[in-house]
Amino acid sequence: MSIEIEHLVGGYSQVPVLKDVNFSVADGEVVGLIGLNGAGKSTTINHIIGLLTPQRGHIRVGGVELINDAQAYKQQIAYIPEMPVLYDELTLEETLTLTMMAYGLDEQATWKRAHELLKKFRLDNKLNWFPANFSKGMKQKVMIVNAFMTEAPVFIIDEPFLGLDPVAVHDLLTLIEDAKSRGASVLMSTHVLANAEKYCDRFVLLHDGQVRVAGTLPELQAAFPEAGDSLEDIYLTLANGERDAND
Amino acid sequence: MPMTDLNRLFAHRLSRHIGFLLKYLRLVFTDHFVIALFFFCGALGYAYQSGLKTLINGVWWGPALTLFVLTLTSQLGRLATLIEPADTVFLLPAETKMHAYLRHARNYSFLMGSLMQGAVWLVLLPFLAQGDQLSFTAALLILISQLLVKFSVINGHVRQAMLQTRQRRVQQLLWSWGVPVVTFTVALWVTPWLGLVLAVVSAGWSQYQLGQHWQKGQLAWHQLVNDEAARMMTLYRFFNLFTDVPQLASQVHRRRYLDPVWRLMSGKSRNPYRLLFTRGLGRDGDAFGLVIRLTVIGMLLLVFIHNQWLSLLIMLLAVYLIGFQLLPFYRQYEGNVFTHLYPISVQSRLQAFRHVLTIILTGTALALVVVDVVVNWSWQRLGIDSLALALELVIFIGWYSQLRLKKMAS
Repeated sequence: MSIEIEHLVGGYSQVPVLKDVNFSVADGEVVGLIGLNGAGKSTTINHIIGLLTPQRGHIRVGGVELINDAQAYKQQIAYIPEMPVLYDELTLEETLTLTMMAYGLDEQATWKRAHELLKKFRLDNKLNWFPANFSKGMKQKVMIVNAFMTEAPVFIIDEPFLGLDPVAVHDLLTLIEDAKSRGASVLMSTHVLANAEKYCDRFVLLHDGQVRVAGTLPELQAAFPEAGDSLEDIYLTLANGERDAND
Repeated sequence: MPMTDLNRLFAHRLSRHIGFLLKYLRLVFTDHFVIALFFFCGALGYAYQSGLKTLINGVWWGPALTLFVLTLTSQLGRLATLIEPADTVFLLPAETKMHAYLRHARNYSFLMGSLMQGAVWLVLLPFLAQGDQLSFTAALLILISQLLVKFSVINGHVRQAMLQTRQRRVQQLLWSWGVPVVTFTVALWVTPWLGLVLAVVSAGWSQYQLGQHWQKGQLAWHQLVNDEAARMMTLYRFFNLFTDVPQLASQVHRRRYLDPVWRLMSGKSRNPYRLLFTRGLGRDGDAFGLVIRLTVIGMLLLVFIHNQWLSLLIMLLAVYLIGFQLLPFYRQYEGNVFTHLYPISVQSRLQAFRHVLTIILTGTALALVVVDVVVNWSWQRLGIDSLALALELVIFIGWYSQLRLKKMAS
């Protein structure tokens, strides 16, 4: 198991956003983290990447807990944030070099991969520019290249499709498939259910800081036989049901 | 607040804006600054008074100088619309009612402009009497003309805010500068009465133009937003001379020609923070400017000051000031998630920062010592300078910075 989350309770303040969250992502598996705005997806991700400290429970990445060995824990994770985050003063080339240095990657081999990715996303002629001044979509592509050139064992991807053109969306999905076939674990939060349904092996539906249901599509279909076949139908049934229950 | 109540919207924004101005003015006019200003104004007033005494019978260049001052003054005080970028979305539906808002903006701007006109007129009054040999009535007529000209100029700016009345840049400049130049030329060389007539006509014409259009005008939103942002930026820059203005984000400069320098500075090290801190400090407008400014000022002072101990004090102070002010840059990237995500220990981040700091401060110290010994060559001076600065570097980087950075890191 590459990501294991057990009884996670946490959030930004004393009042927990996440209340006893449990799920895992195996090697070579893509798991979709699905939920309404405010369900706790980003909070979960912030806990996994180590920005937040759990109030209770455990998070293990590759069997390591952050508190025991921060370096080994962080070494395994490649992260694509929801909003692109870049250093204002670094060129595209320097940004990628920085990541290679930070993860201690072999620069020659990594640059080879990076160049292929840059070409794929049509960024190869922008190496000397400041990506901080790029458009939203192009910044997102930089984040994708930055993450996927590392060949990390664990990918945490937060809502990656916003602002990407259709070609880039397709390329990103291919990259995710490649990473998966290489044995990497991918946790992806998204609202684009059609993509999630097609590319994720399992789904974790978060609601109000708790895992409402988790499993493969057939398992979800079995759990909600009256909801319909597609992930979107099941999701809407669930979301509406919760809303009615709260009214 | 209902969105359509645009009268109240402007009043609301104005009170916030004035609050902003007061907050920063308090920081500008500190006790020391006021005392310094007091003496400065006193000295200036004294010089003005003595100068005036030599102009008993008027001077031929009096009207020309007056024209110059009055024309420049007429440009003081821009149109403050207090429009915000979000308005292009939220106030767009109320566009047809925006003239009420703009009228308030115009009136406020006119009031502020008038105060400046009045202040300059007061200062100029003795010169009008002595240098231009004008009567008090004539001076009063000029004041009224000044206000009317200001009114025309501001109306000209409002005119630019509407698509129907927008003029090309050249026409706009012609109006802004042409009206004051013509009015004051006539007032000073022909008669103030005719100047006043011209000012009345231009003010009336500008108001008539607006009246024709601003009930149904469509706003040039982007222009309004950009102009207001530019106006605020000027204010921020002014206040930034005295205090720290958070709205003034520092500019990043590419400076491609310095790339080899950064490569040399970060060296062969695999520490990613060396790469980050060299580029960060080198391309950040504030940090780079600080180092260059203080080094150059120090070098210039050393050229003119020959006293050995004073020179040494200046060198030590320059290095200390640069180092001291660069220390907070260590936290520059705290807000970036990747800083926390990288599998890099805090120790190597500290190490990288101190490495870069060492290079910068050593470079500054070298530059200062070189200037000092070139200007006043002696072996003894070279020895003392080198020893003192080396000692300072060792203490500052080896002990003091470590103390401060550790405190910041925790």
